Amino acid sequence: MSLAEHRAGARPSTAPNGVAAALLLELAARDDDVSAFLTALPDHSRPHGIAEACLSDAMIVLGEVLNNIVEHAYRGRTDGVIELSLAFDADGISIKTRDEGRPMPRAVFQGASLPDATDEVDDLPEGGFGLFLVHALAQDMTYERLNGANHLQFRLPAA
Amino acid sequence: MEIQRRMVDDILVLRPEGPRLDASGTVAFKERMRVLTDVHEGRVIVDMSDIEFLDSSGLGALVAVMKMLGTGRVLELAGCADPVQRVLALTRMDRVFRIQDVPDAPDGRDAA
Repeated sequence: MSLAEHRAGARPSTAPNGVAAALLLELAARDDDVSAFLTALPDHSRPHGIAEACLSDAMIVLGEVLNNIVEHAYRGRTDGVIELSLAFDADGISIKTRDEGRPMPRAVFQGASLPDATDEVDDLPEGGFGLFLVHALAQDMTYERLNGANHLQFRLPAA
Repeated sequence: MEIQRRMVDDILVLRPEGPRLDASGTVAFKERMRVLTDVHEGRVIVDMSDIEFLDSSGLGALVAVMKMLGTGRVLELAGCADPVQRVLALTRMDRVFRIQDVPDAPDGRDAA
């Protein structure tokens, strides 16, 4: 993983609270790389003073988002790259991802409910939890397709 | 991933090595768990003590393991760390699995 840390300082117009720091990162779009990346990321993020609960939730959402990019946007490819930025400020964590895979179906980012509950073990869902977790925890999620790339943005609030 | 196996009385306790139960390891996890649970008729506990993180794929894999056990048998999860508990609670799957403490060894020592 290449890790470049920037101290961005205060940004006058778009971030009234200022941006304390940002991580700009790039990783390969493969399950093992995503897994290793997410294992290492909390230690790189903790020095920025984010509450553990917020960081934990950010890891949950980011895990699902990165898995989505690997499994859907870059399906069938092993050469995909994911760029992401994490910005830490008093209000929480802002995350942006960029990939050059297939366009994401918009329905994916418009909300999700829990898979139907059931008392029958055989009918228990094994999927569908990912989108639910994303929408339960992330705020202000936006998606754009620009110049052949997917741009996703979302926030994890501090409290 | 490696899964340690031990018996505590007649309870089968299986401990995946982690640190993550996620998309990168679910196929191997499910296959290994199938083999390990196949011949056991009694209680099955997954000791989650070494799992720092569970994602939706890992959650789906635990559901698949519970289905392997068959009708009327519940999969028990022990030693769940806070991030794991968080995912289980958010998805309400903490009502499907039985969540509990890690069982002691038969002579009373902690099995960890």
